[in-house]
Amino acid sequence: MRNSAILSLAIGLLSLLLAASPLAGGPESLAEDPLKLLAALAWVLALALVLLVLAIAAWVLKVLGWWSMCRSGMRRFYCVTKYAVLLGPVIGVALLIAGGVALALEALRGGAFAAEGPGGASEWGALAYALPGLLAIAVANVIEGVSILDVGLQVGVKALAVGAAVHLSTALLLPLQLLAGTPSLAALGGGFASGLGAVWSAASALASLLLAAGFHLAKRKVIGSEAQREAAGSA
Amino acid sequence: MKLSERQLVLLSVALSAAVIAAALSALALRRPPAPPAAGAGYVAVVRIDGPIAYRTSQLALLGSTASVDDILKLLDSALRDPLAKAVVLRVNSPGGSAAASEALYLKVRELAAAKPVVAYIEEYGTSGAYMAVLPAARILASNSSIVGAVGVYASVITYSGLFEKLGVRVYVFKSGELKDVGSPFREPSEEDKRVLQSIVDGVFNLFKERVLAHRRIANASEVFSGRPFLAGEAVELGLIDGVGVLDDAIDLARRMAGLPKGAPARELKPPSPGLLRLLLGGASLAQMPVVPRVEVLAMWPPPG
Repeated sequence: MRNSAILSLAIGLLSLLLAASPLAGGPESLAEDPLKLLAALAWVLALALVLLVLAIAAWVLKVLGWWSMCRSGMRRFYCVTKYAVLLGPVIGVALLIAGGVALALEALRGGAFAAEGPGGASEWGALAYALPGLLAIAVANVIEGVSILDVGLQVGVKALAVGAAVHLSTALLLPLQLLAGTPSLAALGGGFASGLGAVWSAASALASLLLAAGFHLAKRKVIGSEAQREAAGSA
Repeated sequence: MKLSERQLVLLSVALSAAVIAAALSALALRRPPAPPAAGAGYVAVVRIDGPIAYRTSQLALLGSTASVDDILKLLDSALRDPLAKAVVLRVNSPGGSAAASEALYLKVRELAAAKPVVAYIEEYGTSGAYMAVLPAARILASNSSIVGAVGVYASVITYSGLFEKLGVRVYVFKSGELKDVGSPFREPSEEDKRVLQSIVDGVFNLFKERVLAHRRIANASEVFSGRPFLAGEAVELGLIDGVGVLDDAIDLARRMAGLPKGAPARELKPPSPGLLRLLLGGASLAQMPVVPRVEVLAMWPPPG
């Protein structure tokens, strides 16, 4: 889980590069020079691919981590967390894809983009279709955050508890994100610099940093206490 | 401080519920203005786009047309809907078949007798499209739109020369001399030309009468020469009432219907054609110029 948090931090930092890419100003800004546009597109695609691979790796490590926690028998709730972390993003992405397909069909029929006078009917429609998927991911994040908070409190590592609190706050920021604009799935998953912008990205990056440090300290503490116990046993 | 299993579950449920409730509330807050409530009233906007024709018309085979069947249904729904207090016809059409334009004209006349109708010409509002919107209480147009082309034409294309070169012979057996008027397999005779011209004149006279019944025309000889006019000239000639943008037409419709300024404008759309039809019929979506063989109330040459 420590490695997963480190990967999440890396994803957050790389996504800043993505946000700063020349395409961020819109492809129109590069329309005059097709070569530059192609280069920028290739850069963005490569970076997006790297981010996707890192995100999947972080997710796999996270699932394996909670799998071990569940097997340790410390808490039954960790087994719930294992399934939430495993299934939450899968269900969320499936719902987002289904929402995208439904939105596209609606658009083809002229419903989602129906002219209702000025007012973002289409944007609202997109939000409404994306919401179930986003909520599935957010709920998985909440369950994971509560479990991390519990681990932090049990082991007595403040960084972990604070990291969990920040992690939970990013999930709770979802409604604000909805109010401000279309949320990004990436921001929910790993701390991409987008959506609500600086606040969300900063909170996600901070959470990843604290969790990485917290899990590292927790591991050392557990190993240290086990060594002490063994020493006491042998004495 | 340590949490029990029960507390962990309760905390997760409470936080998840908070996230879901807040997200749903945020979504509800961002919801765009709802369709008008009962009794509120709105301005219905109906588009008349492309060459006007019935779905089965020869014109429809040549590309995307404004299917009169669909437009008539939309106008009917605007007529029946008591909340549609006024109607704006959003026109971008060079005209079309005489019969389809006539059907549209009659429906617009019926509609205009029941509620305020304002026509707004975006790019083209010529010939049959212009005739169709004549009963509107007001006709506005975009400053750079083309209006008028009040007239009728029919074109006959013959292949007799081509067939002769190919060695193809066509034998026609007919009950009367004029039964195959306009046949593409022979050159039109003088009598054919007379008959076709009389049909064109007959349709034109009807068109002319309608223009004179609905508009005060300043220079009849110029207007009925069949030429199209820019919107500014069309105002001077009395073909339209003014130039502006779509919002001006909607505002005018609101005022005429006594609706408040914020009353919504809602575009009425034909029912979904279905995904399969969209996929299979996609090729016909491209706009193509119309080369008609029937009498046509359209600007000539058609806009490409």
